Amino acid sequence: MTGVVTPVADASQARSLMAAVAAEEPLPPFSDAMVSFGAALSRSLSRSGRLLPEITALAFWTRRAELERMRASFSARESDDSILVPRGTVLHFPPANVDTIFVYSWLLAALVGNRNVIRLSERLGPAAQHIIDVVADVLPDHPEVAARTALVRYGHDRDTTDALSSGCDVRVIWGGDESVRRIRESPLPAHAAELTFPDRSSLAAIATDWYDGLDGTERDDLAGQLFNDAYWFDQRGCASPRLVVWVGRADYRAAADDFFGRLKAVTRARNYVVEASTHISKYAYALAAAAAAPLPSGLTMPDPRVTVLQTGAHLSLGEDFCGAGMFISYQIDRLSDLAPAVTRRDQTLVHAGFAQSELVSLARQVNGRGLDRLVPIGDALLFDRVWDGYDLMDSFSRRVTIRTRHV
Amino acid sequence: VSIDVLFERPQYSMHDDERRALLLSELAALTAHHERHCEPYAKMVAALPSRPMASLEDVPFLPVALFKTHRLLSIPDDEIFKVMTSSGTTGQQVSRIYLDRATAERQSRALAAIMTRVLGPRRLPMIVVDTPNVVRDRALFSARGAGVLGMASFGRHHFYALDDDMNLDENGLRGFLDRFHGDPVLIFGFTFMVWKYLYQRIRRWDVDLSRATLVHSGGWKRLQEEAVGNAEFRQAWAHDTGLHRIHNFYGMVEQVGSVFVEDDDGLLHAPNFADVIVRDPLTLQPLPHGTEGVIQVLSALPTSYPGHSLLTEDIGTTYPGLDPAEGWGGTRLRVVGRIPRAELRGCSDTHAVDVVAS
Repeated sequence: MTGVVTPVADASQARSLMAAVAAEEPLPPFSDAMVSFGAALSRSLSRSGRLLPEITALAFWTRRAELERMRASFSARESDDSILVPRGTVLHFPPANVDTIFVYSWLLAALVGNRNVIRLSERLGPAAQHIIDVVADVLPDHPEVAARTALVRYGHDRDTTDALSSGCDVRVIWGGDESVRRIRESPLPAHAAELTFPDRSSLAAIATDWYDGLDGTERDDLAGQLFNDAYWFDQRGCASPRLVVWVGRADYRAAADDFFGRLKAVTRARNYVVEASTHISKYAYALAAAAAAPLPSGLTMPDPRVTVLQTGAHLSLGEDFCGAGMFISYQIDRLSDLAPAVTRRDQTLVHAGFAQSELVSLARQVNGRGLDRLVPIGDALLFDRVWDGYDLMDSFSRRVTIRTRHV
Repeated sequence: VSIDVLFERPQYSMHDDERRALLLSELAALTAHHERHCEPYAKMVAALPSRPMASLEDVPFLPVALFKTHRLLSIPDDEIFKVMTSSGTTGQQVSRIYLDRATAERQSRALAAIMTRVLGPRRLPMIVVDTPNVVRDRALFSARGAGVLGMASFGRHHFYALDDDMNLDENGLRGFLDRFHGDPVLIFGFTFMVWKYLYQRIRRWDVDLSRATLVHSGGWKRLQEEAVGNAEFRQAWAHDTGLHRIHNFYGMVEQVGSVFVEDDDGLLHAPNFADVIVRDPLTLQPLPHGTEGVIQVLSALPTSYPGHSLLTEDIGTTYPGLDPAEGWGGTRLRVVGRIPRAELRGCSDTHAVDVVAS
């Protein structure tokens, strides 16, 4: 790994590292130093030649104009009697296999002024490795940011996690229930806050009559957008849809068959590869689904890349999801009929063919039981600073109120 | 009924057509039996396209992974005699295989029928290439211990050749070999241990094992890392010790007793009451003999759990059974190894554990 990442050998090294980071005063929110760093990172990522879609999206998100927009939106939430300040040191545990999350988590915390310690996995994907190489190039030119940033790596060591946690002001745990459970074994200082991102799953809803009104090109586009949502992380991202709910008339099958046929064409055109072990997991998952709920049209797996299980009703099998193109498809009469099935696990609803008012009404009806994002099909994986119900920029800052007594 | 014929006839003595026909009626009956007695199994089978059971390829097959996530059994709880577990390689979840007395006895009878054919009717003086604690120490008791215990009944005067640190008891081994000099002996152990802790230590001893029979199992993965395949393994033993009766076997906790044993042709042979099919992992369709695919094992033994037709996580190639007049009958199998596990992306728990554990 590149020199920018510090291997942490033990708890005492972790304590000195936290002390060294804490010796630097936090920067003010949206300091020129930090905005310049973000913009420089964006330029280097764009120029680096490795234009994987997630890197392109990250480079776009961190370009200067976008950062200025964030700065404006941040200061709009301040006033003379209420200002936002950094919390101190933010300790991040990003997921191993979503390569860009660590940058979003780090930059959002850094932009509002915090110092950051980011624990990187030892099994980094190619995109993450590439980003780290770019960071290693850019960071030395930004000493104020560099002094307040530590990218670290270490094996599973409770003492090291204890030491890092005892020195932070906010801890962010991505990566699911098991990560949250294990990292939470390490206590936090009394004043520290914690953000957790447990296991989530997501679904899609399509208005059947609206779909009927699309022409062939529009339908292909929609299938391409769902492909991006579902297949980019092998359908195993928290935001990747697993269910496709057809909203409207009872005889939805022709529309569904048409849509999944187009989705198959997209998977072929984009050369999506399903490996042998994954396909056997898909078969096991399909049988498990059959054991949980009847499949009126049976189970066939004619195409390894798209398997559709038509169920009579909502079916959510959270455990051991195989991913890689497994869809549970069923019909409801109205979007609001989805509400009773929504659970805490449900994160993102990607949708097509609904009015804003219908979506708001669904969210109102669910009333916090689940569903943190309702976004158009195609936007499932677009990172937003509001994630899993947290506005990260708010969560990484504290609000100071300032009142005076008029004389 | 068919299964009695499959047991009574000497193992490997039947023509493929006759054996497969008997096996088909047995497996069709088992499928119906498990549909009646195991509700989740019945629901799974109900979802599969219905087709007449015209050949063994038509018998529905469950991926072995389902025994990790589902409690699959066809007996009431009060008839559970033993629960076999295996961790496999896919994580913390273990397979749970529920045996009643009848199934456990059928498994023992099956293994005995096979080993009688391999070793002859007499119990032979036996070298176990393992530590005696593998069967003594309950904490160590594992698939390894179960394997040793299962085989120990086919030998006598058991000599455990290793200590807990895998050191060979050289004096003990010399004593054992002197005592039974010139007699047939049985050597049993796990493939890697047999190679690493026995062969490599005694290869220069100038020992004569030409009357010994080696039975070994456990897979080639660790030996492949040392570039040792079955051919090298057999040749080395024969060249340095004269040992040429070597029988690798392939079996799994999900189908205990239903083991595939290697003969002189270097291939594994299905016993009378079992068969093997390979399938294309991406279409799940059966593949012709000689083609590599994912291994499906069929066994007439399990009545207490729906494990009579299982899709494994191993890759291999089948070959037709030999004419029993010429050699061992029974569909033949070459096991290539485990299906490589795909590195999937995503932010779910398996990876999350890696976040912490990596």
